[in-house]
Amino acid sequence: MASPGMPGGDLPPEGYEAIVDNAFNSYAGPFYRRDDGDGALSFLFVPSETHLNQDGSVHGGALMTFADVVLGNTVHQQTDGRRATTVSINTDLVAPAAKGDRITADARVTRRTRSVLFVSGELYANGTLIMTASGLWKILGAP
Amino acid sequence: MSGGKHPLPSGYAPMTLRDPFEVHVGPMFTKNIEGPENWYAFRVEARHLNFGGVVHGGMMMTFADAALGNLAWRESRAPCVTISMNCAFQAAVHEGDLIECHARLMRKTRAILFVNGDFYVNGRYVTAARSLWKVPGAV
Repeated sequence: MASPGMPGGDLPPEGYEAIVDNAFNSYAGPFYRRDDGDGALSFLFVPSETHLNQDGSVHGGALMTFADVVLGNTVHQQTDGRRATTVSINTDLVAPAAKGDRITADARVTRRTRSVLFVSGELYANGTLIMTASGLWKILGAP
Repeated sequence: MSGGKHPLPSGYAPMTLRDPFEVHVGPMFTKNIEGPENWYAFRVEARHLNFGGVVHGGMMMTFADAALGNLAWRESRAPCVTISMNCAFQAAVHEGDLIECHARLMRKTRAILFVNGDFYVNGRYVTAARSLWKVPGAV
């Protein structure tokens, strides 16, 4: 039973806020972010029973969803408030993750043009690399 | 399961989902075609959406993982794991749309399966997926 202050409980982990800006982020999560200042972001996802495969490892789709959220939030740091949408995303699953793992992420925009942003990042489970991800986001309304 | 909250798309049967995360985001449907090709479907609901009323990329990838993985498991006769998933989102998909995935096993080696997915809404091409699957223990 999750307790207040723990991931999955009623409150986000210390310093983090739940990413609830759209329906699926809320439904598939909870996914958490923390603003570390100077544009730096931290992300956290602690998988529960809901996020698993039948064999008990974390479902690839749950990790891909977290990666999409991480890369998208990283992109939005550099769009001057304009909305952007995923056009292409690639995920390589290099190691498995388990229920209760602290899944964190690092991500960075590698190139920003007027209409497209290129972004890449890594996901870790308790500090061990589990996924590399990269993608292209398109700013809505830009040609 | 018939009618009610999740009516069966024409030509499809309910897909037996054993992974908790797929049960959470589902239901999904399949045409149960034998061999290296099959069709899968799911209907977009409010809980699957991103901002602006379009389907979330993470949900599309989850559906791709479920569909292409179902075909990989069946053709490899082994519990494969996803090692790579790439998706290109070519057109917006909205609440109420029925997304149909044509999954094809392109190549099977002893250790790796290559599975492609082509996704349509009302015949309009919306997403391309390319995936790699590993047979545990095989080299």
